[in-house]
Parts: sequence; C-alpha cells; structure tokens
Amino acid sequence: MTTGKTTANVHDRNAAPDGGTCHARSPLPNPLDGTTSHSTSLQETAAKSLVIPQAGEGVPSPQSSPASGRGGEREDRSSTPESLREVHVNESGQPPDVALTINGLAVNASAGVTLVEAAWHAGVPQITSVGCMEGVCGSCRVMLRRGKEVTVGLACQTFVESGIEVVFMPPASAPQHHYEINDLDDGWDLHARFHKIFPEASRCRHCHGCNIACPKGIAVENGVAQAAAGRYREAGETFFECIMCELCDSACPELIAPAHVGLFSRRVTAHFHLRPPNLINRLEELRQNKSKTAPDGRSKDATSGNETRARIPLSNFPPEKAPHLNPPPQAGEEANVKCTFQSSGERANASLRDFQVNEKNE
Amino acid sequence: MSNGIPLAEALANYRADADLGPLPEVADIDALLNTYHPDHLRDSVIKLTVGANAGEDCQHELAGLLQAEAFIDEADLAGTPVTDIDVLVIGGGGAGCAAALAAAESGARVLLATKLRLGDSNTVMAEGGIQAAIEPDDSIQRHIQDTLRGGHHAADPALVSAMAEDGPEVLRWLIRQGMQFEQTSSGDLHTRRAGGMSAARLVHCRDYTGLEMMRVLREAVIQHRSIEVWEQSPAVELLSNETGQKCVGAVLTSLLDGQLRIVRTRSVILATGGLGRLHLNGFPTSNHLGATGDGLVLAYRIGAKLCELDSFQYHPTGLVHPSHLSGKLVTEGVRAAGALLVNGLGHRFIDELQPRDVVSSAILRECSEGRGIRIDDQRAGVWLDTPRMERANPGLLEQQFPNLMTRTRVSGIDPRVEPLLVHPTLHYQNGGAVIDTNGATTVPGLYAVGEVSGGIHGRNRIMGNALLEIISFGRRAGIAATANRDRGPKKVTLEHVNRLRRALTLAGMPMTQRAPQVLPPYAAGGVWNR
Amino acid sequence: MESLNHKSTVEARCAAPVLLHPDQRIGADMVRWRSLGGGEALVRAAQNPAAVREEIRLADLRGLGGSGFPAWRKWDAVAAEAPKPDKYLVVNGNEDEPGTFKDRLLLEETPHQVIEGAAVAALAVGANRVVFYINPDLTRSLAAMKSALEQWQASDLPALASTALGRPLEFELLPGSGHYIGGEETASMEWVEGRFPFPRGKPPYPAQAGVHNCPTLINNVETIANVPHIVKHGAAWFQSLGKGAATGTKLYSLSGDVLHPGVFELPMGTPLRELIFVHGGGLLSGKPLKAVFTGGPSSTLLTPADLDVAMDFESLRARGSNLGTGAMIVISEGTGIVKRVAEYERFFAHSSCGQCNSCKIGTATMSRLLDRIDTGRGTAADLATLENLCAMLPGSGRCHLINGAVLLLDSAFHHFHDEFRQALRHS
Repeated sequence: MTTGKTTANVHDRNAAPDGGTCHARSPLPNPLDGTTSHSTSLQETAAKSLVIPQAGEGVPSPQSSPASGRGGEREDRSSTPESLREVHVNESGQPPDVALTINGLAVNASAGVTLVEAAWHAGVPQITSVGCMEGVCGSCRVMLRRGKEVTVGLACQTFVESGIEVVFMPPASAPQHHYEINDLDDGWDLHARFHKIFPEASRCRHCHGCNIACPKGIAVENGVAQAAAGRYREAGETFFECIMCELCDSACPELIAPAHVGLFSRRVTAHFHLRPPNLINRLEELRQNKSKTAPDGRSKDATSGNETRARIPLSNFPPEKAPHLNPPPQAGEEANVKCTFQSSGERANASLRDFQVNEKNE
Repeated sequence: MSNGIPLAEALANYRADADLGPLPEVADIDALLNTYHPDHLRDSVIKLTVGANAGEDCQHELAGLLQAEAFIDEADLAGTPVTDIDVLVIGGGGAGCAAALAAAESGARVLLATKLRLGDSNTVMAEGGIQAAIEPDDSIQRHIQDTLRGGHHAADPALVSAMAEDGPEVLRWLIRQGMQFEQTSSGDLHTRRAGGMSAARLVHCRDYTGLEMMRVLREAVIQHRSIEVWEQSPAVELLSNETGQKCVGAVLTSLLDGQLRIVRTRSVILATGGLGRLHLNGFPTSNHLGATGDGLVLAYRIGAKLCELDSFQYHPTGLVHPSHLSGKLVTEGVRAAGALLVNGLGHRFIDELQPRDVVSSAILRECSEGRGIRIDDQRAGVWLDTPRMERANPGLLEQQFPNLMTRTRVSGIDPRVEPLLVHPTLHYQNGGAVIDTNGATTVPGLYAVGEVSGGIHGRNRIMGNALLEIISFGRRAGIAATANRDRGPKKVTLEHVNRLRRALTLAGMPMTQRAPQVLPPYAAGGVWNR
Repeated sequence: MESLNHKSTVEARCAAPVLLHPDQRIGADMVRWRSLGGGEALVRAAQNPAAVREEIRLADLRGLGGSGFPAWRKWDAVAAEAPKPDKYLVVNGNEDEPGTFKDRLLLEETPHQVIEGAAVAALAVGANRVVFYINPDLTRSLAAMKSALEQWQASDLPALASTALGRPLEFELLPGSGHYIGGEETASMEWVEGRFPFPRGKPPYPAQAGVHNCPTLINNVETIANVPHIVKHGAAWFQSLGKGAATGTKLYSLSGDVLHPGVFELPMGTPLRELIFVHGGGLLSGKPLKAVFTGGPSSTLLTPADLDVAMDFESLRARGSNLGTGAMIVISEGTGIVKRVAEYERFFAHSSCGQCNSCKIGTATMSRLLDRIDTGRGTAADLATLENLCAMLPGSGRCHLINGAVLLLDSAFHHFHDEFRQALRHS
C-alpha cells in the first residue's frame, strides 16, 4: 500500500518542509501560486499550500506567522486572511490535541473545529469539494470511520473527534433521469410521466440506506413512497430541507435517485399549482398597462395616479430624467435615509405577518 | 479593542427580561459612517493607476488584484483543446443559471463553467427572500424608490427600473421552473417587509429562499438539453479579438487535473458573484468559498469599466462564535421579526432596522469604544437578543428560521435561550462592472450579471434585491447574448493582457502579484494538480 | 468477464472423480440412479444418524461455498438445539458471482446426489424441513431438481427418512430472488421467510435462531453433495482423496485466458500450476501468466509466484489469499488488470444490498473511480481516494461483501500499482 501517512502539526512553526516536496510539474504558471495578497508571508504560505505530496511523502507543515490583529473595528491594516486561520486554529485557545486522519494524512486539530477547518489547517491537498461551509450547499461529502462504524456526512457539519478517519468523496455522478419541466404538459398525466421518468421509484426494496445516509435527517424512503404514490406535494414537503448533497442517491441500490425524486416533486407542485392571486393580478395589470401605453411613453389611463403604474420603455428616458410616475414625494419623505418604520416599543411583539408600514409615521 | 466585556462575564450578566434602557438617538449618521464604516477607514481606499477606472477610488486590496499580472501567456495556449459554443456563462450560482437557462430557452447552445460545484454560490445561502412589488398597496415605482434611496441615490435609475419592473415576471418564471414560495391561507404569496422597504414586498420560502431557488435552477440547468456544464473549471483569463477590444471567449482551467481549455464564443456572461473571500480589511465573510472576485478582475483586465469599487456591504449580524460559523449570517429577518441588538453593558445602541451600513457602523463603534463583548483580541461583537424575541413569540425561531436553528444546533447553541454573538461581516459587493439594461458591459461581447455587476444597488443594497437582480439581469443577459448572431471571432488573442502589461510597466507598477485569486490561500492546498 | 452460466459440458480429467463420476452425472433419472447404488447412503444414515456427524467430523468436510468452515461444527451446533418447533436445512444453490459455475452443474446433472446428501444431513442434525434454494436464472438446474424431487416424493425414500427422523421430512424447491447477496447465509434465511434477502448479520447464529427463529443449517450444494459419499465410504477414504492435510476432492471452476475453461474435480490441494497447465491446457496463445483472480465472495489475486501453492483453504490463507468457491479466473499478459478489477468492482457495487452505507456507497464510489481510471479520465487524487477507501472500509458492513470488494482492489494495488498509475491522465 502506498498511502502516504505523515503528521502535519498546525502549531509546529519550527518544522521545516520535508525534503523532496513536489511542486507542480506543469510548465504553465500556477494560478494559485502564492500571489493572493500583498503580504509576503501570505505568499509563502500560499506557495507551500500548493505542494503536492507524492505517495509516501509528507505534507510540509503550513508556515504560520504570528497572529496579527484582525481589521474591522481596529485600525490595523496589515491584517491578512492568514490571521483568520490562526483565529480558527485557536478555538478557545485550545491546543491541537485531537488526532485524526483526513484522506490518509495524520492531522492534529483543536477541539471544536470542523473537518473542513482541520483539513485546511493541516494543508491536506486536493480538497475542492467545499462551498458554503454552513451546511446548505451539499458539496463537502465525506465518508467517516469511527471504530468499526463507517458513515457518510458533511465535512462542514462534523467536528473533529479523536481517532476519526475521514475521506472526502468525489463529486456525485451526473443524474440519470432526464426531464424538462416545460415538457410536462398540463399535469393531468403527471403520475404516468413520473413513472416513465423515474421507473425505479416503484421498486424500492426498503433497505433504509437513504434514510441512514441523509445528513438532514429527512425520511427519504417515505418521500420516495409518497412520490411513487402520486402525492407530490407531500413528497416535496418531506424533502423540504434537502440540500441536494445526493448522498441518498449514492446509497440507493435500486438507483432511484431519491434526491431528484424529491426535487421533482417540489418542482411540479410549484409549476402546476402555485397560482397566487396577488402575483397574477399584478402581472395582468402590467400586461394591460403595457398595451395601453402611448408611443410617447405617457399612460393613457387617467386613473394612473394611484397604484397602477404605466409600463414605460425606459430607453426613451435618459437617466437624469428618471420618470416620476407617482405624485411627487411628500416633504421630507424622500430624504428619509433612516428607514425607520416602527417605534421601538412595538418591536417586541412584532411578527413578520403583522409587519406593516404605517406611512404616516415616517 | 482589548477592552470590552469578557464573554463569560457578559453571558453571566445577560437577562432576557432586563430593562434595555432607552434607545439612544443617532445624532449624525454621516459621522457614524465616516468614523466607523470600513469603507471609510483611513488608508482603506486608494486611487487606481491603470485601466478604465484609472484615477478613481478603489479598496486597496482589490486594487492590487485589479492591477495584477495575468497567469498565462499565449505560449501557454499552444496545444490547448478548443471548444466552440454560442454563449459561455462563467459562474454557477443563481445569476449564471438564470443566464444559461434564458440563453438556452432562446435557442443558444450554452456552456456553463463553474469554479466549484454547480450551485456552489452565495445564492444558495440567501435566507431573506426576493423582492417583487405584487401587493395591491405596493407598486413598481415604490420598489424603484426604495432601492434608489437605500443605495444613497448612487445607482443607475434605468437599471433599477428594469429590475423592479421585472420583479413579478421573475417570480412567474421561477414558479414555472418549479420554485415554491410561502403562501397565505388565501393562496397569495406571503410578503413581508424588511429594512429599507416601504411596503411588504419580500417573498420567501421560510428562511431557505436561496436554497430553494438554487436547487431548482441547478436541476433545470443540468436537465436542459442545450446546456453543458463544466464543474471545477474556473476561468483564468478572458480572450479578446485581434485588437483586444472585444471579448471572444475565455481560458478555463481544471481544478482536478490542471488542464487548460479554450472556449471560443460570441458572448461571455460573467456571473462570478462576490469577493468576500478576499477578506477585505481583514473582515470575516459570509460568502461561500469561491467568492474571490475573479470576474471583476477578468472584466477589468479586458477593459470593462467598473463602479463603486470602494463600497462594500458589511452585514451587521455575522456570527462570531463558534469558529466554523465565523462570519456566517444571521438573516436580517430575525431583526425584522423583532430581535434587538444589545451591547456588553446590556443596553440597546441603535435602531435595528436602520440600513445595514448604519447598523454595522454602530456595532463597530460599540466594540471600538469598549462596550462590546469580547472573546479574545480577534473576536468581539454584540448580542443579537434572540431569547427576548422568543419569549415574546414562543416558537417563532423554530418555525420561521429553521436554517438558523439547524446551523446553531449542530454546535450546541440554542438561540432560544442564549443570545448570539454577532459582528459585522463582509457580505456583499455593492459595485462592480458597469452594465446596461441588457447586462452588457462596456466591452463588446462581455456581459456581467449578479453580484459582479454594479450600478443597481448604489452604495448600499437593500435586502431581497440581490435574489431579484440575479434572475432579472441573468435572464436579460442570456436573451441579449443569444441575440448576438455575428459570425464569431476570427482570432482569439490575449491582446488585452498585453495592453494591461504595457500600462502597468509604464506606470512603474509591480507585477509580482497574479490574479484572479481563484481560491483563498487557506483553502488552496494542492488543488492545482498535475 | 466471460460468463459460463450456461455451459454444461465439462472437462473432467481427474483420475477418480467422485461428485462428477459418470454414475452420478445422469440427471434426474431416479430409476437409473438407484440401480447404480443411489440411496444406499440414506439407508445407512437412517440406521444411525448420530454416527453420521462423527464421520463428517473425521472426514474434515469443509464449507465449499466459500467459507472453508468445518462442516461438523455447524452440524453439531444445530443437532444440539431443540426444534422450535421445526429445524431447517437450507441447501444454498444461489451461485451468482462471476467465475463460479460448479453448483449449477451438480444441480443439473447430479440432482439426486444433492438430494440424498440433503436428506442425510437432515437426519444427522434432526432437520425436518429441507429447502433447496437455487438461483432463479439457473433454469436447467431448477428443472432437473424439480423432476428429481418429484421422483423422490414418489419413491420409498422419504418415508424411510421420516421414520428415522421421527416426523415427516419435507422438501421444498425455492428459486431465489435473483440477487447475488441472497447467497449470503443470513440473507438466504430472509428470503426463505418471504422477505428481501438482506443479510441479518450474526449473532444470532442460524444454528440457534435461523429461519422463523428455528435452528437452521445452511450448507452449499457442493458441500452437501459430498455427504453421501462420506457416509458410504467412510472418513478415511475421504481423507485419502486429498493432498497433504487436505481431504476430499474439490470442484475447481477454471475460466479466463485458458485453452480449456470448465469445472475440474481434482484432489483438494492440487497445485494451481497443475490446474492451469495440465487440466486447463495452459494459457491462450501461449502467453505468460499475469494473474489469477480467486473467485467467490472474497477475491484476491494470485501471481506467477503462487503457481505452486496448493489450492486448499489453509495453504491459500497462508499466502494471504482465500480458496473461496474454488474459482480461478486466469489473466494472461495482454489482458488489463485495471479493466478487470473495474468490472469486478462494478459487480460488487451492483450487488450491494443497500443496508449499509459503507458498503453501498463505498463500492459505488470505488467502481466509479475505477471506471474513470480505466477510461483515461482518472487523476492521482482518484487513486489516492481509492487507497484511502481500502484502508477505511474493511469490516464496516453487516456481511462480507465490502470486505471482498476491498480485498480485491487492495490485492490489485499491491501487485499491479504501476498499471493503475499508468492509466492516469497526465501522470
């Protein structure tokens, strides 16, 4: 076996890089080659982070410079993103005494950091599957081993544990079920269409693998059953929290692609059933106003003084003569930069639904 | 600053039912902004030396990137595989997907290249909602005015009007694609008001609006027969015609194997999003990993005019703690629902629904003047008083903000019983590439849509306009780009790179830095793999 | 991988075939079978069922479906349990993996041998319900067994057995679900109970709580087929058939790049070299040997350095390999290891039942990465991920499928790492 194992100690500032480090062999300049900021120390750090270890070689310790102050409310302009890395490492000032393995590399991390942070701090190479870092984009799929148990999860939502083994997974494969939502006609034959698009959905073998794999705790198997039974609104609601990480797709032995079944269910619910009166009314108003608009841009509608606005092709107006379709603003209203809409005393009882502007108070 | 109330002490003193004292008046908003807002920090802003915006203000770290060397030379392109396509979209967030879909719907063959995974974006994290003037007591004009006012009247009214007018149609288009929204019991779209709005105009899907939008658009793009998607494929340079005046394509690289690829096209649509991961002025950021302003750099290099390069939105309530959520947002909706901001002394200090720049400046003032709550030298903030709000509205957090609850629960924090420590976070780029109502930049053949473009939000974006902008202008650019049916480029060159090199050399500027950054250095480990 | 699922003609060049003796290879014709001495073992066993177990123990009969586990230990365990209210014997004929095709031959050509062996085993352990559990795709085997069982039911033998048992002895012919995983011991019990064959995991062990919670013995078809001969001729005779410390004969399934693929009954412990070059006629076009995949659920690679290894359980285990079902898939120089391994892993990925994320997602990921490498799209990072998965996955599933999948890949990496590296793009 040629898996390289080495210790990358984030706090070992005196460690020299291992010999024989391998830089990119390409003759092309590396877009990521150490020029990401004005700071020299940052350049060095960036350059080192580009080292690609050969199998069996070590990853050099990332060189840490003393934590400089962070900008923001202070006036220290020399702060660099690297100081943020120091911030992350020093979670509660704890020493990096949690030993784990990421992609075959031994890593030491501080308690309380996520696997993504630990991987970055240790300079684990080739981690490209990170996105939002707050658990909504579904990119950072990992396989985890704790003792004898192997599970799957999201690296940005998993904290370091002693002895845990982590492997970042390759991206999910391309979807195998093809449909374009505009091809779905009027929805009366949706059930038949669904089973043509997702023929496997009715062959669930109830292995529960999808439920176990889901990092959001969604009742995936139920959702698939709901969709297969033609209950798309309910299925869509079951999948509400789905971040499309597609771990359930990977876990399904019948190749059902549950995440896409769920998304289909949500989409057809909106596509066929969401017809909100307020939106439709406004669209109709705009359509009518457009057809009523005179060529010179002024509305023919005598009553356009209130809510209905004429749709005027703005290319007729140079920007400095932006149209005032309303009556001119009340004195003082336009200058109100503060946008204060409610007095503080009422705040505590406000809920979103009750939040209404009271124009007279502005 | 090193003074400030230590976290443990502040937590011990915290009471959800304490008297918060009277709300102090802010005597001079401008003074507050000028003293504390990061855009106004001494030495934060310099003048650009070369390029279409030479002589204009620009944040200094961004200026370094805009005036940096390119990565490649023509020699590097020898033997590089070439792909011809009608429309190239660079960026796989909401704007990129909207542009790709609109172009494909208009009959173009589209290639969408994205740096990471399709859908990795700031869009997916957006919580608050999308603005559209659909209520009877609201109007397009009001939407326009709110936007102009919120942006301190620095925006281009033509762009703002286009966006506001598109609002209802954008919603219809999204619904047709399959996006759900919250409804009232009568079936209307549920609307709510938030900071900067004169009417209830924010349409949403609980606090997952961005996720709902992104997963629908992503699926629509993947499924569309005329759209090809290349993931892990950032752009490292644009291509220009023989005079360097027109954009005719791009050079992409692969994060998986380092292979360069040339794409020749009639129109390039930049949808590269924000630049939070540049950590300007040393701030943490709410942005996703890939937000390094690549499109801005590429656009400037090929000669596009930019605007408001010294104006960035620092969202007031970024989490300070725990570390893995550092900079991540607590949506403004929480304040709109009634949560208050409380300093380390237990007092309110600003009206929470002031525009974001004002609230951010106030928080920075509190921390700077020793009234913040402090973890250590690098981390301080103020309380976002969620327990008090929960007391007044039991169940509200769980019901309306499941995303917030989920994220904090993973770390063992319960916003219903403990207040959240927040600090301003670099959130949004107000300016960007100058565009017209079709999303076209000042460089023929080059479009810019979404956060990378400027002129819509002036110097301060109000909530809900970002999600509207990306769809509105994404679609406009997709349609306009497809309508361009010229015969395509005769030659693809790097002439525009030479032009910049000449300018930098003649101006005596250093050429050691290379741009675009592609990934922040702490995350770049070994990604360029050969 | 070439499928020999429907191949029924077999070269048998060993000196003294037992299971594949011409007297046995007569199909379902019970009259002829009895005239050739069939049924005598059952008569003998009916006189003294307890003695049968002792004979099986002395003969050191092993589980020939892949485990190599001493049969007598399972038999004794089941015999020691009381019926609850039944006891089951499941004859496992769910043979399904590439490269193994011996059980279908026994079922199709020697059904009575198998039935008699099952009846004897049932008596020996006190099982009153016998289930012949057969891969549903083996249509000829099923037809032969059906006919044979019908003739059994019409004969005097069931009554003889039932009398010895003290209660009716019942036979059932049960086609499997068609899933590879159904061949796993505890999975077969799920199917017998009417559910999808998900492996249950052990404990509890089938001997204590098997089908419908009753004590259950599960043995492979080949294992069972040996039973009548041991009863008739004795343990000493059985021991003399094998080489070295091994006992009995083995049906080796030989396939791949050889002149004469087929099933060969040879003394247990025959060297690999003899199987390939004497009986198999050597490699096609005289090409050098590159590797041998051992078939069955735990596949490893043997190389030319292993040509003189005795093909018995202990000798192969000592080499870090496993006899498994006795399948040997021969690869010559000129055949690509990467492609073969990718095909095998695809088989495992397809066969994973889905209960355990580690197995399903693990095999699916390994299969995808190998496909990428095999088709020129793989990177060094892909190779590293494969190696890391090999380190992480063993032992993480409820059954051994994931272990076998990893063993195969691990073994291929160990012997042929360069070939994988060369397949990478831009390497």
